[in-house]
Amino acid sequence: MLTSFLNAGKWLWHLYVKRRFPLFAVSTIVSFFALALFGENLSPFPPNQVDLGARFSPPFWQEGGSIAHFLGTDGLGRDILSRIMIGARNSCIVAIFSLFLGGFLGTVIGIVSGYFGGIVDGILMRMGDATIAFPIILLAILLSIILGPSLLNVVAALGLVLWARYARVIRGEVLSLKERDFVALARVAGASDLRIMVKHILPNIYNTLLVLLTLQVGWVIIVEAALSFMGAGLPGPDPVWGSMVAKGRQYVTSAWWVPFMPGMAIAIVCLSFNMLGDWLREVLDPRMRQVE
Amino acid sequence: MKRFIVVRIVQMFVTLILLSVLIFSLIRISGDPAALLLDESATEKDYQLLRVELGLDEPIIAQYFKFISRAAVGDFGLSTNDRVPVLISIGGALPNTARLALTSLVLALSMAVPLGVISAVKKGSVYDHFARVIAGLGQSVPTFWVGLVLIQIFAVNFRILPSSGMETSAHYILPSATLALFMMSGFARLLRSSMLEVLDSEFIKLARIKGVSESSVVWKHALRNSLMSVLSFGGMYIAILMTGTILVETVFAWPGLGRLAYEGIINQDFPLIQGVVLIGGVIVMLSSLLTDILYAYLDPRIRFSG
Repeated sequence: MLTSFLNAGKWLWHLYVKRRFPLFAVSTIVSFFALALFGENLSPFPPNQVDLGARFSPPFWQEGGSIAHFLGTDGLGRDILSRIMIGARNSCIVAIFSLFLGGFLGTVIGIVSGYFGGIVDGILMRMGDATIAFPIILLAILLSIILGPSLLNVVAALGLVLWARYARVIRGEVLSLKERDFVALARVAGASDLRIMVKHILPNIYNTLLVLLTLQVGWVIIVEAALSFMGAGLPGPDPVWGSMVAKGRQYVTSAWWVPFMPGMAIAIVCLSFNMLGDWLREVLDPRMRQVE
Repeated sequence: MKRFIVVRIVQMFVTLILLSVLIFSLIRISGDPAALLLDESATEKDYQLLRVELGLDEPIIAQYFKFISRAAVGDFGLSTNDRVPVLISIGGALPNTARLALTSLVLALSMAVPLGVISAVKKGSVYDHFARVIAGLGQSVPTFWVGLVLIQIFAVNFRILPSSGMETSAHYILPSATLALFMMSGFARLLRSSMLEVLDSEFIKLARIKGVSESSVVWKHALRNSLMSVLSFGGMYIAILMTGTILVETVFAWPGLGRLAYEGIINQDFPLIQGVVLIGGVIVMLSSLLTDILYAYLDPRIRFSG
């Protein structure tokens, strides 16, 4: 019992010191998910509670600020900290759905493309190149103006661009995996193409997939915020980080904290996911250091 | 080389056709296209006229060809907001966008090259860590927010730089710095990793054995080859540059394409948005085609193949 505790302690110490475990990043990410799940139970105020008596109350350290409104209030007297806490859920939902959509499409296309090669590969990869070289924001703006701004449009636009990033990297992995002996043996044993792809190749790219997913969370959150900033993001009265910055920008001269705080939240969360992604890449697969 | 260019041009046309089909089918999915093209003050008679004008009674394929042939000659109709032909608004905005994008690109490269090179040469040093933190920050911080923070610092607190418009050269400083910071981090990271790879290669060893000076090895032999790998990602960076420009223009009220797109969204001005998306897409594709041709020309492995 004691030895296993000691071993666990040793392992953690090794992880933290030798492998430079990103403690700051992981704690931020854990809090981010906690806020996304339990935001409304944790926030000091309801996010849409208007209090005109407390309009533009500055953050607590400035003159006139109060501890109650820790990060200040906006033009309607709504508590900014509470709105940021509740807003985590929207960012999290968009990130999960679009990464799932993009990751799923990208993995399927990447495996098929790399496994079969030839003309299938040529067509799929050229489509991928075209997608990567198209400014996503234009596509998302178009979607939002035609279909109206909604969660589905944001997720669709992000997923449609993301797949190509996954497909490109995964295809590269599959190209080398399919030459390996275990694939040839599986074929000799009579396994079908589908079985080889799902049972033999897929498990070998989980690490790559994990690193890619982590590295893209930050990107997705930033693009989602950018879309909301342009007015093409999630609609509705519930707080969205990007729209909070967008609506706060008119107060940049008088109440800087209104646009500053939600932007800071975006930056900290993205930085954390990127730090964790970089770390996972180094730990899981040093060969992947080239992947951007 | 010839074959490469032909393939790329064909590919660009295929992408363009896909884009136009996408836009066309989106318009059809959304219901009555006439409703998108007209504003609320339009009468029933306007709708009838527009339906006939758009040929909504014709087969869908014929409608598509009508759409594409109009777009090909730059006829995107009138903006529903101010009744100005969309092409004229875009024509006025485009040079402004190009100016901002080019200034920022030059600025970004001039910061990224020393940052990436020194970071790779002094790998693991304090300088390397510093450079990587800067590059990591640039990728994690939302561009539009950086713009607002710079406005807050330099335009509001110190009152030394203008925050919006593009009348004087001082107006370029904040927008292009914002955009450059965003572009720079990607360049620096890519340059660092490709410099590390190149510095490890045989021809660098040979240059050193021949007694070429260290600064010449790094800044001439290695850098030249590393820049090639940055160039090979040209298409992707042009798309990123366009995205960044649109956001930065919105923050700094820069009268370019991004500003136009923003106004289009606010006013629900469909013809304007459609024009901006198509033209923006074409410009990005053309510039990435040119980058690829330049890359193929500079890289003998591609120039002499096929």
